[in-house]
Amino acid sequence: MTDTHEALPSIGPDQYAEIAAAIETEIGRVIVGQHDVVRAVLTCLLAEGHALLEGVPGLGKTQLLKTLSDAVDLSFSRVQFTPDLMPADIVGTQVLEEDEHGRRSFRFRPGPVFAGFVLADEINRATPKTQSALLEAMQERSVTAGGATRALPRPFLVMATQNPLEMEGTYPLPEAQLDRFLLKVQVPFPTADELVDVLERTTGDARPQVRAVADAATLAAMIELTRQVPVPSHVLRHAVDLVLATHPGRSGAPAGVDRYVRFGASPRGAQALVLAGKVRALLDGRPNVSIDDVRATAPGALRHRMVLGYEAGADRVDADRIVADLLDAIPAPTAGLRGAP
Amino acid sequence: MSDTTLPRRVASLLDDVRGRLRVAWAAETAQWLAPAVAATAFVLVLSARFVPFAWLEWAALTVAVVAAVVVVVSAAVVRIPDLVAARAADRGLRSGDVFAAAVQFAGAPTGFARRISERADHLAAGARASDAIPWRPRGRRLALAAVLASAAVVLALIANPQDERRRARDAEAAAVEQLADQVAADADALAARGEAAEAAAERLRQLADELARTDSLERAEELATAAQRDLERLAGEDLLSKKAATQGLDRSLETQPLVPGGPTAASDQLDALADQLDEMSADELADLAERLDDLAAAQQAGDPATAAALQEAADAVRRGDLPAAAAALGEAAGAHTVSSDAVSAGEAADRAAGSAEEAARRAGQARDDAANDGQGSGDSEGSGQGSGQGQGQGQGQGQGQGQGQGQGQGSGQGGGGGSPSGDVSGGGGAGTPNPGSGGQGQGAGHTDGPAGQQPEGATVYDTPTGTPGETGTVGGSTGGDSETVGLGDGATGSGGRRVPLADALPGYTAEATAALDATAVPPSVRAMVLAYFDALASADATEDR
Repeated sequence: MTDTHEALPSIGPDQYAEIAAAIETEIGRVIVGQHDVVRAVLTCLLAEGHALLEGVPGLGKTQLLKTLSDAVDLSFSRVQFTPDLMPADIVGTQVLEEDEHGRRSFRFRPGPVFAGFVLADEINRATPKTQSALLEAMQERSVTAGGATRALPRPFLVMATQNPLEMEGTYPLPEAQLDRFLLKVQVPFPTADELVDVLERTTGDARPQVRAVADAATLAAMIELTRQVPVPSHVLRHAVDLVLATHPGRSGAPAGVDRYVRFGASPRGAQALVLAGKVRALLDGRPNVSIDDVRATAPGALRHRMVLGYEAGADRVDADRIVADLLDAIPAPTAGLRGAP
Repeated sequence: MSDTTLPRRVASLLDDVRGRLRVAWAAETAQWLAPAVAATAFVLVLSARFVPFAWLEWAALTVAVVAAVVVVVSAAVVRIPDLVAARAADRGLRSGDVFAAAVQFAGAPTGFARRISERADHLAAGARASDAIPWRPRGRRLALAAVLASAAVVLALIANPQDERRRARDAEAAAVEQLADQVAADADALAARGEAAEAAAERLRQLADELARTDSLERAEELATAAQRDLERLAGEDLLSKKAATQGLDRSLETQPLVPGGPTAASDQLDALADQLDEMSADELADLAERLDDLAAAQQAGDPATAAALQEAADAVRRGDLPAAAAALGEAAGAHTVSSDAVSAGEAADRAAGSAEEAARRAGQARDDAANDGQGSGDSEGSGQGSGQGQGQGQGQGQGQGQGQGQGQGSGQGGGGGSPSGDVSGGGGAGTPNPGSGGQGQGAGHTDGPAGQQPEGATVYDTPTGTPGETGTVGGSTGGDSETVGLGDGATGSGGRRVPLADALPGYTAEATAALDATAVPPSVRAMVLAYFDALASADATEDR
């Protein structure tokens, strides 16, 4: 675990892209297809954010994070959220211990959150109180228990999975917690060919071996490099315009936003657009963030940050459609001169 | 020029893009403006077919040219910063905003800035500005503009029914301008005659200014007529009688001085006479009283103030009150001076009224000519009516009617001993296919009929004869188709004497000629007056033989 910049290895943009590609390759040994999901999770890792995956059970969400932890040689813990899960089950608790001299004292036993990768599986099956236990860990990257605040390791990635809300026994995540996920990723059902491939890999005796292609220090250096990617001012402005347009009543907001959205995205949404855009640029071998980077990450960065009204449910309009309308209504900015493309 | 810290190829590309952007800006703006400009031009050209303003077609052309010039100049001067050019290049070349980033982070001491610069340089190699800024025709806008512009051009090129009206307007404006110049010249000439003519000259100058501000012959005629009325009022209705009285007194005292060997001017003679009353004998005083009575009687109609003073002087002489007689003679001298000055001013006003009248006549003539010109090109099935009117001045008036030329009818008035033949140049009858309205012809009644016969004895009344208000026969009865009857408005008094016509006629002819020369008399009227006197002279000569 590396906490100081001095110890970070020197990583350039070319190495950054190579390592990321290697990670994706290793994941691809286990996970069939789902390239966009893998890229989104990797984006969250390199942007030092957290990922929320939504999809029906059995699509390989847990396996994805397990494989990722193997590929980057980070500790991994999995928390299966259930309705009776308590906050202490996540962050840890003080336990009374007695030494060989008979003296008893409290000792903090870290919970599963003290790991590089934390898989909060089916997070929306726990009560909101327990869900909120992750708030401090995700935002502050520290845990306060027994009157002491303890830092979490870096890199620290929470990848939560949730089942669609329509399913039985689910609790919607609080808005504050949703906002702390950098991206919300929809996990699609695999295609027939992918499913055949899945069956071939999982029903035989062969066990694909995942090689660690990076370590915590390398990841920390990559995260630092991500932050250094320059963003032209007009790209920043476009990210802001997109976020502002998610707010109903704002000029430029499309009709769908005015009709279906109760609350628009927070400033964290704009941060997510830019950070994810930086990762996307580096993974693509480019040294700067472009308008396209921002627009490509908009669905994942914004879909969970808009609070929809009941009209959306009544009209069966989801956040993805609203974001699509938003991107249509707020096109990529022109050069600002008549006749210019 | 682009930022010098940019890679050379990037800077060059951005310069090319900037130039291309200017063209694109001009093309886009032109396409945006073209329908509006073409529509404006079309409306202007279309309007030019309904109203006779020649500037409408020029305005249409001007709108198009000005729009083109504004677009080109604006494109040349529009400011295109490096960042704008770079963003345009990024969008056109799909370069992932690397050019914009290169411009924005140029010179920054970071590894990313260097890599951005390198990548921009790499992408700039082989990139063309034309690929970055493609030509984007706006089909519908261009088609609409083309249709409207074509329609405007066709409308401008085909014959315009307003062309004739425009030519007529131009000719009318030129005629009015010429009229204004003439009136101004008349005013200057009048002003040169002295202080007495200043008021009349000023009114003429006002008329010239008013004429200069209008381009309508109809309005010009109205203005001239109004000025004529003003000037006639200024001259006074009794100008002729006042003039006859003052000039008669001058002439009488010039031929028969009150003070032999004294001054010649009437006022001076009266003053001198006042000083010499004491030296005159009783017989001389009696003769003087009678002479003063005659003079007072002659002045009664035209100059009552002088007449009253002269009569008072005559009465005082008879009474033997010589001091009172001297005072009355002084008053008579002063009254005569005032009356002479008034006559001078009145004559000036009269001349100015003549100028205004001439201006009105010329305006009316030009307007009628224009109307006839316009109608003359119409279909011959049209019909019209015209009326001609001639005015003669003389010692009588004659009236006559005659058929006008063509299909018009005319009536003429002519003066003199002849009878108007009615051969007037009436308004042309040719008209438009619709029943046309005839122009108002202007003509002078020609005195080409049989000359009137002079009365037997061939005598005329001398000026100071007759009874005030008496209707007298002037020039004898006339033969031919008309009768010349005049109401003598001159100074007529009791008693009278007749003198041979041959003696009076040269003087009258000279007076009439001088009057014609001094005032702006229409040539036709002038010819008529001179013909009248020629007729009198020839008739008198025949009688003598």
